[in-house]
Amino acid sequence: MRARWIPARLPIRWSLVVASLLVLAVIVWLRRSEPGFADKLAPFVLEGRMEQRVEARNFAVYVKRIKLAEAYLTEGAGFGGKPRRVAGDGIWMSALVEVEPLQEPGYVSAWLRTADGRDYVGAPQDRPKVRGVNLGEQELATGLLASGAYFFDVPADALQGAHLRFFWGMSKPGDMDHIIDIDLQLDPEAVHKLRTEAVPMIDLTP
Amino acid sequence: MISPKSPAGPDAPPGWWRRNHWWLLGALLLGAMAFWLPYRDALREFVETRKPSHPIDVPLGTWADYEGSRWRVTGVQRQDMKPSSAGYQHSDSSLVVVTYEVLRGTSVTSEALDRCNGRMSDRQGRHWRAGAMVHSQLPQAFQRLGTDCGSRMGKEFLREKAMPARPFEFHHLFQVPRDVPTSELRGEIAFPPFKTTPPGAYLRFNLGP
Repeated sequence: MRARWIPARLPIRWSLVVASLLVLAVIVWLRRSEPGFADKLAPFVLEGRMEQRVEARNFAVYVKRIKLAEAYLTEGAGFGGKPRRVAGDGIWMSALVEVEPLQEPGYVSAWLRTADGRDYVGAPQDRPKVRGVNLGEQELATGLLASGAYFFDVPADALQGAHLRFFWGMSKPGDMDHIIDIDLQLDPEAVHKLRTEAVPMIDLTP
Repeated sequence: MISPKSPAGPDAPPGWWRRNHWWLLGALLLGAMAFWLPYRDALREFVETRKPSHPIDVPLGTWADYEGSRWRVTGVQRQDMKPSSAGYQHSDSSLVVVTYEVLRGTSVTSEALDRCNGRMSDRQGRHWRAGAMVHSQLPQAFQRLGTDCGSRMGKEFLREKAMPARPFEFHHLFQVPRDVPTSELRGEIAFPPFKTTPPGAYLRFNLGP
């Protein structure tokens, strides 16, 4: 037996059904096109080029030039150790830069991003061991313009179209922080010129 | 049975939405505030407990009470440095040594005082950390430079600790750009922000007149 309050025939308002389906479709579309958690926290990329000062949230970078070398001659182990030749697995690329922490002291790290998306992290302080020159893993003081270089051991064929990227910190760019992306303008001609100018060994002994 | 539609027209009584629109607006406002206010408080608490946020300004030479002890700056020394004194080539800089004196409170341990964070700031809001890496170039102060507030390295590398109610001197060393005058600088002593009262409170000593 049917309850007394239920009408004999429920009227269907098709316009309302269609409107509800449309609203549902819009909600699903909005949810699907919403950026993911990683996208929301992703760092902001600031683009720049060589010989241009680019300022990020807490540091500024000026890339003066880049050089290639087959190997470096660096200071030896211990006090008075014999200088040692440090050859790269690929080729050494050094980027001569000026870096300035703007608000607080800390570290500026660099890596080289190739045209096909591979990343090569800047070399640590002990390889090549060039005290006072390698700015990788070097704590920098606020407001002091540091002059030095970042070193990269990269395959020789990875240079074309590569970009140099900088971030504040040591391990990875902070959430929603800045990445400075420097276009090295390494077209085939520029790479050829760099390779022609590359020397078998650069003496970096103090 | 379906009730007949109410008559439409200029004389028709106002509908439910129109009769209750002020209530609905108020409910919407209250609902939004119910989300916004706790979020704002949580955000403020997060910021306050994350880094020092409430400076207590202290003129040079004046005592200040902070976290159960009394503090003051007794001296500031400044020395221009070579452009590679930080271990790398850099623009012109100066070393600034700030000498503090602390009267340790009876309920505070020297280990608790050592949890301090020594900083320096300028009027542009830039910060430096105590403990620049050039101690060896300041032989006259080498023995006592450090980053702690309740203990220091004494003679023969023995640690000296602050005793209750006895003046204890310690030094913090900073490396700053040479073009920043001392009068623009402030020495700061901060404890972990989530432990101070109020959260984020820290001492900020003016180093100039």
